[in-house]
Amino acid sequence: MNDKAELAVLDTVAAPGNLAAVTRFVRHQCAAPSQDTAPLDLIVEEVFLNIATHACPDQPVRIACSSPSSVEFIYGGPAFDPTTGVPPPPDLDALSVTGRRIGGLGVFLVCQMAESVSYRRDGDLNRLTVRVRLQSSP
Amino acid sequence: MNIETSVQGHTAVVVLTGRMDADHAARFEQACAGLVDARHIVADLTALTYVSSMGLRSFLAIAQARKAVGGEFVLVGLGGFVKQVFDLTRITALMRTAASVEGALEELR
Repeated sequence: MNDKAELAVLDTVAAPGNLAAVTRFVRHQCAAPSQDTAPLDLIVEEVFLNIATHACPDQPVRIACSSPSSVEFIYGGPAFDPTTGVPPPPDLDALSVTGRRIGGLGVFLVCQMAESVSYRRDGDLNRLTVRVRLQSSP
Repeated sequence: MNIETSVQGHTAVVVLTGRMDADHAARFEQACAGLVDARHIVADLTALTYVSSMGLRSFLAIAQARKAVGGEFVLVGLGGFVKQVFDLTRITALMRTAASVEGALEELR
C-alpha cells in the first residue's frame, strides 16, 4: 500500500470509540517511553476524529507508522486536502470571547504541532502523512 | 480526566486533573452548564496535562455561556502543553486568568 518500508499498520474503523486504541498504537510505534507524547496525541485525535465524523464515518481507515515519528492516515470519502482545503487561522483575531467563533481549530493545531503535513489523493483514497518531532518529557 | 467541583458563595471552583480528550471536554461543558446556582466559575488547570480542539471549544462555550448570564469564567494554573495549545490558537488573551484560586475568588467577591 506504500512504496516505502512500513514499520507497522493498524486497520480499524473510523469511529470516535476507536480513538483510544489508535492513540495507543501510534504512541507505541512512534514515541519512546521518555518522550512527551502530547503533541502526537493531539495530532492523532484531531485527524482521526475528523475522519470519523466528516470524511468517512464508520468506514475502514488504515494507520501506518514509519520511523521517525511519521504517521500516515489512509481513508476514503471525498478528496479533501486539509493542508490547503481550509482557510488558515480560524478567526484568531477576534477581540473578545463572545465574538470568537467556536470551531475550526483542529486542522490549524495539527499544522502547528507537526513538523510537516502532506496530502495526496490516491485513486479513491485520501493519504495524509503527518511528521512530528517529539521532545523528551519535561 | 477528573472533575472536582466546590461552590464558595456565588462562585464555583472546578478542579481539572489529567487529560481532556473529546469525551471529557463534553463532560466538562455539561458539568459547568449544570452549575446554575453559581454565577461565576473558576477553573483550576494546574493538574491538566492535555487538551485538544474539542477541549478548546468547551472552554470557549463555557466562557460565552457565563458572559450571557452576567458571570465570569476565570482560568487558573494555565501551563505546559495546555498553555501551548491556548497560546497557539490565541485563546489565552480572550480568557480571564488569575494567579491563584484564592486570587480569583478575591477578585470575584
